[in-house]
Amino acid sequence: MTYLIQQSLNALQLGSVYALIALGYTMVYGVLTMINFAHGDFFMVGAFLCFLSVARLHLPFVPTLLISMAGVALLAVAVEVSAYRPLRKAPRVSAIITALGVGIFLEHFTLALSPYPLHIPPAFENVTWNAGGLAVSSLQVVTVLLSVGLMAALQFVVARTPLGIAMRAVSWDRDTASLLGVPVNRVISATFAIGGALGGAAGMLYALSYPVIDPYMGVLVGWKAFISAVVGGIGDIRGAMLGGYILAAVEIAVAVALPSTYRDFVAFSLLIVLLIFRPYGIFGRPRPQKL
Amino acid sequence: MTWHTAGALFRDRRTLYALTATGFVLSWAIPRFGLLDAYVQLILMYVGINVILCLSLNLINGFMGEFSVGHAGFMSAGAYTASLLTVRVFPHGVAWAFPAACLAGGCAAALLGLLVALPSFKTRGDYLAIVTLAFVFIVKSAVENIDAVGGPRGFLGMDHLTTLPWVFAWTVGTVFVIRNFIYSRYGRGVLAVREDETAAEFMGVDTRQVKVLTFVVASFFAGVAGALFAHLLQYISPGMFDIVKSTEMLVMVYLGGVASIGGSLLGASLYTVLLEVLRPLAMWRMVLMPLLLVLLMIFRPRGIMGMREFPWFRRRPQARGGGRAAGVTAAAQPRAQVPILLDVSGLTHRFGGLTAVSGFGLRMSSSDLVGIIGPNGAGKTTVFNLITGAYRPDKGRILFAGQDITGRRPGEINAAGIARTFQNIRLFKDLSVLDNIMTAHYARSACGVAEALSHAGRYRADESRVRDHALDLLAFFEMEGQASACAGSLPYGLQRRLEIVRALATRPRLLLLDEPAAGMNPLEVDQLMEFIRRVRAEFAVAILLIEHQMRLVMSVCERVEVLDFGTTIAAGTPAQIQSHPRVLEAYLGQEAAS
Amino acid sequence: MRRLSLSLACCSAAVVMLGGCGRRSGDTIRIGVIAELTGSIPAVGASCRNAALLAAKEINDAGGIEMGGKKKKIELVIEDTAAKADQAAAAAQKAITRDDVAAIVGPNSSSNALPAAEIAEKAGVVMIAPWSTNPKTTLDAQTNLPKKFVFRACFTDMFQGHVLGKFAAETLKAKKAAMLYDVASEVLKSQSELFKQSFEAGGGRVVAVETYTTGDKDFSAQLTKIKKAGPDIVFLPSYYTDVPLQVQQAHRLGLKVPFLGSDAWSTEELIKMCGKDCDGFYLSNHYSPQTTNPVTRRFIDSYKAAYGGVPDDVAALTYDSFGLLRVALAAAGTTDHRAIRDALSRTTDYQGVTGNMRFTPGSGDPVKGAVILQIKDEKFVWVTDVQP
Repeated sequence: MTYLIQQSLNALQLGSVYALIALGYTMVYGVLTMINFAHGDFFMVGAFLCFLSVARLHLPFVPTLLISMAGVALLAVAVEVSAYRPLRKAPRVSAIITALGVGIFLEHFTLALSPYPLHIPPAFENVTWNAGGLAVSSLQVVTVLLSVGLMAALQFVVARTPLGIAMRAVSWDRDTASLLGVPVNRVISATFAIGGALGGAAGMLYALSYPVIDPYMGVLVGWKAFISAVVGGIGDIRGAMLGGYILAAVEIAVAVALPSTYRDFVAFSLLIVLLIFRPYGIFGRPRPQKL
Repeated sequence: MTWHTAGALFRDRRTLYALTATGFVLSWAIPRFGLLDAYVQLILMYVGINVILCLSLNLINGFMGEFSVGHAGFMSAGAYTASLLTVRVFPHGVAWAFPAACLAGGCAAALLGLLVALPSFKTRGDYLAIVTLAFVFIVKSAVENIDAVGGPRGFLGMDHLTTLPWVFAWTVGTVFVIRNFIYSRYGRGVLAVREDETAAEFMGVDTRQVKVLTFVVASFFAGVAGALFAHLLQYISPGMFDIVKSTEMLVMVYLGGVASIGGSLLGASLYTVLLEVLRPLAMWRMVLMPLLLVLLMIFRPRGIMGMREFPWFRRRPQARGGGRAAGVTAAAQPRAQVPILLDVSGLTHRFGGLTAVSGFGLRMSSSDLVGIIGPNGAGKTTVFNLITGAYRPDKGRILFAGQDITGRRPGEINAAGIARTFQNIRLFKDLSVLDNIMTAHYARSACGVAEALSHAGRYRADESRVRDHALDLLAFFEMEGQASACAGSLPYGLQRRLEIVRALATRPRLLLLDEPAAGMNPLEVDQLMEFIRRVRAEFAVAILLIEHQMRLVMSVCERVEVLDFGTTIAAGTPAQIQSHPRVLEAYLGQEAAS
Repeated sequence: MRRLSLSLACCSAAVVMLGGCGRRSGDTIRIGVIAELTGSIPAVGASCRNAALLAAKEINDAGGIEMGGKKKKIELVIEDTAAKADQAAAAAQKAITRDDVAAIVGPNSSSNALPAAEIAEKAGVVMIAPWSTNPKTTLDAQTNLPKKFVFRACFTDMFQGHVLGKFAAETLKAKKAAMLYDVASEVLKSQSELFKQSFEAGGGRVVAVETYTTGDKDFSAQLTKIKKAGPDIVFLPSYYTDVPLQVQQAHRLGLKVPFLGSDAWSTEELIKMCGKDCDGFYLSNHYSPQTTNPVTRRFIDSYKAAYGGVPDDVAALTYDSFGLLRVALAAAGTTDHRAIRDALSRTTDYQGVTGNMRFTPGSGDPVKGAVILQIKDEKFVWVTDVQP
């Protein structure tokens, strides 16, 4: 029993990070119907900013969090303005390929600066509490609480604030929103900023939990978070959160129940089965076709 | 040589044949006499393999407009199958072993392509992208777990069988087959799926067949490329065929240009060669490449050759077959008459809690011209969608020419003889007027898959029959002059008309027109009325139309059905309807009626 | 039309650039260094390049290598493989055909070294893969006989897995072992299988076999499973960048048994990242850092001086590859490929950074001993020597 609880805690921690990154995908998708494949690399930049802050500037936890979030938000807006905005009217796929290009660029630019994996010293004293064979670390608690907090904050912004209303309006119909006086460009930039900030926070939490970082760390995690977003129903905020936790739970459950060698094989097969039964994800609905 | 002569050479197909022949000779002579050093030869073989990969991925992502990232998985299947055969099964040193292994590798990949195509029936776009993404992870993980093929350590023992002539031959073969595929009925289906999958289905295109074929053909060639790759490097491992490999292929496709054979040739060559030329930059090479890609996307969002084609690879301009042969009207193609063409009874459909159509019934004979009117939201278009198979009715039965067609798929219903137009025009906008019409011949084409891929057998006869029929149709409606124009560029009135002609091309016995006069000025409406009368007379079709323009309905239709809240509230001749109290009530409100 | 022609012209220009003529070596000895500078294992590539530059500089500072009465300097041709097999093959082919290299050092990962080795063998150019532990690298895939021109500087997976399994069973007297390795890595899988073989031959039992995939950072599920199996020792042949994550997660989950690693651990970088978490763990290595061997000491010092960091095993092995080449080149007295090969395979006692090595005739695998080290108070401490 403690064994299963322990594994659930593991899934909770991993899922929180997937969910945070998945949110970045889903927000951009919701507003622009564009898959921002560079998001995994935004996450990587967040982790490197965390390194800079903790290992080089010796800053404590909270300023590090702010630096990572703000830095990645800035980066996301810069990328949006310079690379994605010129493609607003182009075919959707061109923007996706551009995003892939931006991602590869970020990876290799970081790589050219630092080919070696970097190690991040702990930003705060990590205490492990043991209770009846169950081990819970303060880092785990911080990761889960902070993720849930950020997700709740996001939910509030989207549901209750003028910015959130504007975002939903742009997502529903960009042209009409623009006619009604919604500053579309600014709303889109704000979306990227928020998505980027979440990605930065995820990068930092990830870097503290798994303190060896390298320029390619965002690739695999990014694809997985994207999968989480789709499983939940891309464009849907609750979906992205749920998707993140589901993917982590499946990965860990497969590793627990079967030889871990088959983890990817089984986890991704399950994913395809899920998409066959719910082709638009858990919360996603097909947009009704008007004939 | 001036630009002019260069251009003429460029347009002449014989240049391509000459180049291909020279290419074959060179591919044999270069290694034989060492005309180029081993390094350039190696890169040329990479170029060939990448062209095959790029072109086959372009078939799915460019021509069909899906977003697949599964090519690394197909390549892996081909590479492993072929390598296992040459190393463990086939005798060594025999000439047929390698081509047979390549074919087998292709077939193994095609089999997987079939599997991946199945989910594409239900899901599209980003969801299909995820399915293919997961597929890559699954293949990699599966191979890693099979110790018999070396697991993560990879597999070796292949002879160095991939040579320049083989690569060249397979590349030429791939270009040949994929080009043939695109310029066949299936190819028109592929483009139609990209342009508007729903409309394609209503026009009789078997979209499932098209998708399966496209995935099978594309994955076959990816598998062949994998086989060539394996016997060039003499070593394969599951890690080689990861998602990064797929990303690389995506970059080549979109660099060269979507939906373009020439673009894929260019994209694959440029990418492969650039990677080598930029070697002196060392680490910065991989920083520069993506930057170039981003810049290219900004300035040419569809890639260098996006949606365009080298003259060599364009469709050969063909002369009309045997003059105006059979004719297109009903007089030329008589059909057995049935007393009751359409018999709808008790049709009910709900959206969630809302009953859009309830207990609708309608009978039409084979020469009726019936109008459906009713206020907005009365359920008129829903009735159309139920009859044509877009929705499955909750209750009720639809008999067409004595056949029960309730709940059939749109394609089957079209084949039975019902065609329709749409409230918002749904032409295949990026295709020519002629191609729009020819696409609608999909179901009645005799050309088989093998014939389409080789352009042999019945292909030519079938193609010219379809083309002639399409041209005759256009000529009949005085649109022949626009045959090669892009459908999306026609003026609005002509687009409406083209949509009706396209529906007629499927040879329907019942034509459903959804607000044909929407957005037209009075003069255009007059022309349209004339047009509708002529269509019915000459093509012997029954017509059912939804319209808000009362002038059109009252003067063209012989019978009018009035719908409100999903039920018929009145039916009769236009004169009867105009004075019917319930109609006035529905349109003008209760007070005005009383 | 003009635009089309223009793009065609650009394309042919690129082809012409590719087809530019090669260079002939004159007063220098050109050595190709083929490394994974970009791609999935950039640290390996960077170490390889750094060590190569250092080795070349030292040789050149000493005046070069004497050939035909004239001192010739070393010139490096560094190529990137992007950690991809096809690019590794292209890089090797380019170095051989275009740059007319006397010999090649690299690539390091076996998946890159295998295709490059095929090319070097076919062209008859000596290639030393510093870090490729796959036994197949130096063997002909069809005949399983040794290749003629391909060498390595490290020991093979076989040797190391075997040494460690025996050590765990006999010296540590462990009864139950668990293993955790990267299923996507060809090296680690082989090592683990051999560890299991010789551990069980020594009377032990492997109670848990868990795996992960390259790029994973969360191992909690696997470690929790291992903890449940209750082993005395965990065999963890991971690359040193993964080890701190795995060990720290294990400790957080309350799994506190000694871990056993391979030469992939043998850098002080590991101890810096791991801190106290790695204390008491064992690993196999090519050499002991407390060695009195002056070659090793000098290498570590000059590497630190040049790059600020401590060298890892890739750097040490690359440096030794150059050392071997230096001796062979001097003995051959020419850049003739066959002469270099003959000289290299006659190496009988080379005092390298990673210990003494020699080649037996007809094999590209060096005969070299291993040492077992323990991490104590954040230092590597010598435990025992193992001879093949």
